[in-house]
Amino acid sequence: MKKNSRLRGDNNWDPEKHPLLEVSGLKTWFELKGGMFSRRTDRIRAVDGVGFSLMQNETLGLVGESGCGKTTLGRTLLGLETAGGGEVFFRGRPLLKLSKKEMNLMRRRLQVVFQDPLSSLNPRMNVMDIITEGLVQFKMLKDSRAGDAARLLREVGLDGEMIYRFPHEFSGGQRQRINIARALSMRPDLIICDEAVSALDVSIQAQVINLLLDLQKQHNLSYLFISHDLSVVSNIADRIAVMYMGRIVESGPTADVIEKPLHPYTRMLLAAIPVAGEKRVEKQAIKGETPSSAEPPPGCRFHPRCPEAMDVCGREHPEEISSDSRFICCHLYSRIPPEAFPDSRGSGQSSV
Amino acid sequence: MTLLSVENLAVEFTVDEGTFRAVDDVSFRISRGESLGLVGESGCGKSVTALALTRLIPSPPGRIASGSVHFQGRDLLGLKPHALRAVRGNDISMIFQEPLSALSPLHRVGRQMTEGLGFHSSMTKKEARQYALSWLEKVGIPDARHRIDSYPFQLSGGMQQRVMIAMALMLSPGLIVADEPTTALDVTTQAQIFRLITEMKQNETALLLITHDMGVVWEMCDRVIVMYASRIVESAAIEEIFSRPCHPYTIGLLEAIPKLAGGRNYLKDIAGQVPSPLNYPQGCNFQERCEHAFDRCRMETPELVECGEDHLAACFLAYPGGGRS
Repeated sequence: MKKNSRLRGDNNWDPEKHPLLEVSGLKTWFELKGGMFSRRTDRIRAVDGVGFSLMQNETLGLVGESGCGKTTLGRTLLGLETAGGGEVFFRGRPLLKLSKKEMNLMRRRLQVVFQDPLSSLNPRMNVMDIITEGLVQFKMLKDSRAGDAARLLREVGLDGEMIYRFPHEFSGGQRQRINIARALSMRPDLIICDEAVSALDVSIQAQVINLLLDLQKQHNLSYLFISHDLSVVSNIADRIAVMYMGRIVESGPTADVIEKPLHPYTRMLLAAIPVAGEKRVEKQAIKGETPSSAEPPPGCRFHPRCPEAMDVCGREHPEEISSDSRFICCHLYSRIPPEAFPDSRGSGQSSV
Repeated sequence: MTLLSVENLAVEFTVDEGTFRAVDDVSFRISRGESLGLVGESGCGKSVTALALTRLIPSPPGRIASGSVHFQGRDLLGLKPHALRAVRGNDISMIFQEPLSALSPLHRVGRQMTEGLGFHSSMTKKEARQYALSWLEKVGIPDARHRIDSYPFQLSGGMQQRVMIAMALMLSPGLIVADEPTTALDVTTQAQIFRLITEMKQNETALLLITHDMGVVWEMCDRVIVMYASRIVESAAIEEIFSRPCHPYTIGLLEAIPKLAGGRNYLKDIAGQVPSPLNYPQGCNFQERCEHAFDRCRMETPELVECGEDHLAACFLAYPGGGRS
């Protein structure tokens, strides 16, 4: 997380030492217009100052409830939404400042798998055309379209003979495999998986998670794995970042966050998961709903729902505190004993 | 005491490609006050089973092909439409997955709530409104006095589902059928909705909870039925099914659920995929994905047999002597 890595161009970027993706202070705001003659404009602060970094062959799980901004964050990184501020470095290059031409070349390395496997496949194209479209565009075909398509299909566990079929002829799990094959065809460095397994049934979900783990091993991939489901994320991510109302409230190595959650919101999320076979826990502490992002509460955005809220939480935004591996944004930890956070106390912009 | 008994229910749908059975030979009972979970993956027939109870299957293309549904001794499948209408909402009420599509977008919440009261009780409009208001407060809607005049789209998903729950419970039905009531909601909202259903459900009210989530069943139900490809494959008390699952599908399903882990972890999956209902194989519907399948599984369909106390499984392995003979 060396700051000077930002100045380095693509050539000097060293995957061993430098993060593949480095995000700091990223903001994506949407304007909400009132009526035609109204001067009032509200801003939805969908992503409001998010920072993290991701190494090669690493998986960051981005967890949060609907409306927390996790999808907008992914879309902003892909260039599908316009960032309102902040910096993104991908392979050492400033992603938000690239020219259109440069960005198009960079896109190859930055792929995505969306939630709904059917609506993300063109119903009028056969599988071969779908998964080799990018290869043709970038002149990356190895042999014929049919040959490359069959090879890719086999790689994601489908029959190579199926290349002339259309998306509607496949089941949900198979369609998601086709989406993965399409992402994989470009030999990307990073795949953003936005709720990629959420629409699948449990037995199929497990198959696709295992496939993603296999592909990561074989191709040295990094994943930004966006999901509302902490159980799923904890089986695939090396690190977890928890988002609430446009901000990351806690992050750290997966095992640490799951076993020792620090932020009251993370604890609430964990307590809310119904876990089969374990003693049913009392859930009195789970209350309230996420407020509208157009009028975020003052101070800490979680304080109206927080079982441990103090006076200060409603007044001031909590400081961001980070150690080597963990990051937390909560007043409970602002007077932290030094042994708990051995590293320096970060302030302002933080990388995770 | 048995409140609802379903015997050999079969539901058929006719589509362009042919006729298939979405529900086949389904039998179960719910006692007064019991919470029964109906679990399975998409397309297994769990929602169709729920809809068939009060004859809500769209026809055509659907048709209840055979079987019987008795509620408090009355045969619901033989009732005249007006008599059935008195049962729906009054005796059996439903909570659906998508509250926004279950509520009318054109009418205020209060009007939708009192409309049902008009059919099923002798309250005046004013009394009905007051009653609806008291229920909105009971289900924890803040500022209910104003929210009663909101349109559904003005409420959050959690609030909409609270309104649905209030409507379902308002007439103190004997049975609540909840079809994936929290699937569209966040986990923290889900926890609150389940707490609410548990608190509100009076002791004598029974619950049929349809879900794909084993964790939800564990938290909410006394007994569980597992469905696979239109048929019941296993049923047992909740502790029993988690500690001693019998059917290979149930075993696979329980193992495939992602548990909280500490990083990259391969999950046990069930190979293959659910067969299309248009061409179920001869014999057991699970044979193609089952690691124990043998010749008999490809010839006959296994019946539900006892494999423990009040524990049924439709698998030849559960038959006395291993079922190979």
